[in-house]
Amino acid sequence: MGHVTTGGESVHLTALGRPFVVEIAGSGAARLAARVRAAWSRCLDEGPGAARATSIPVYVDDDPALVAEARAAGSLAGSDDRDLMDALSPRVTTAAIVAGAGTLLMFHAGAVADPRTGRAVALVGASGAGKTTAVRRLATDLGYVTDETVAIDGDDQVVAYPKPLSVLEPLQATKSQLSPDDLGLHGLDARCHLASMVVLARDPARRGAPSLEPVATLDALAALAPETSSLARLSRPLHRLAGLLDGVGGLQRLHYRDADDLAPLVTELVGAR
Amino acid sequence: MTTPLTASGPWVRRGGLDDWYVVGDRSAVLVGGRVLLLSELATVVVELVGESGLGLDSLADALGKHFGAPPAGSPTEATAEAVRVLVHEGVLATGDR
Repeated sequence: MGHVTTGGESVHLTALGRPFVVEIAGSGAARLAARVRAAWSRCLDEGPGAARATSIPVYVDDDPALVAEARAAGSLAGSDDRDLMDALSPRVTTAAIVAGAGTLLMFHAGAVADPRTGRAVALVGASGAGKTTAVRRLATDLGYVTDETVAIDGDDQVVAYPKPLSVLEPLQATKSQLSPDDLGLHGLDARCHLASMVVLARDPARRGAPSLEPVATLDALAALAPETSSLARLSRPLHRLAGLLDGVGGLQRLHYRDADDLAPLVTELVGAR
Repeated sequence: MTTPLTASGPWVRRGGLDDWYVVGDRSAVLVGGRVLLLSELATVVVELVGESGLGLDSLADALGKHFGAPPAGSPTEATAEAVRVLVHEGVLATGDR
């Protein structure tokens, strides 16, 4: 048992405004910790909140017996860094969502913002809807907020979550976790607030420029609810969601063919030009 | 606990709604983690049932005054059918007063 729990590396992160510490043990701990720090570069947090961080134990080793032992003890365990990085991302996000339940209004959405003003647009969509691809293209000019979960706090501010972008690359079974720094994505100079909210509606057969279609309030509530997390834990959740939509001019459906076409329209939505 | 709907009628109350949001004559409810959109009739039913509930016969009378006579069947039978659908979706529940 001692092999599983002794030594190791700690990587302190902030996710959805909450402190977490990824505690990595095993013979590959130093190597994996360096990779985690690189990929999660914009979420690193060694500040005062680190002392009350929630632990996420990870174990990396070539010995299958030790890996099995660590897994049985509740650690995210394995022998392959890439697999562990792929599994760590949803582990952190899920823990952050659980921690934010009841206070944060959370959507399955990517987001980008005007780096100077913090005016953000949320790109809502289920897994596979194109959030990460769209954000990756857009954040070469706009600020990267997140590719996964947009959280709105009680002051209607967006809680930035600039995690690694999770990208499924050709011939790979697991997603690569790409640092926004390595991808050259812009950062943010200001706190973010939502200026616009759209649901992604990608259509490879579409012709013409991207366009926006207004969604009536009740239909918007029905469309957004499946793309929220822990909505019922909030006080008067539908009223809060409707109030948020009212403040951004309502939900709009964004019809487009390719993420490369989105920049002019989204830039206009955040008022960056 | 759900009581079978009969013409004489049980007590009708709201189900475990996490929220109810009205826009004009339609509305949305959050129940069981789902958002359901309610028609004008269903919205009026939820409004009439209120926080304290209502007997089926009283509900039928109130709906008759609001919408007029149903196109088929008695007001109580039509109301019972509407309530049955809403109970199935968790919007309403029935039982003893």
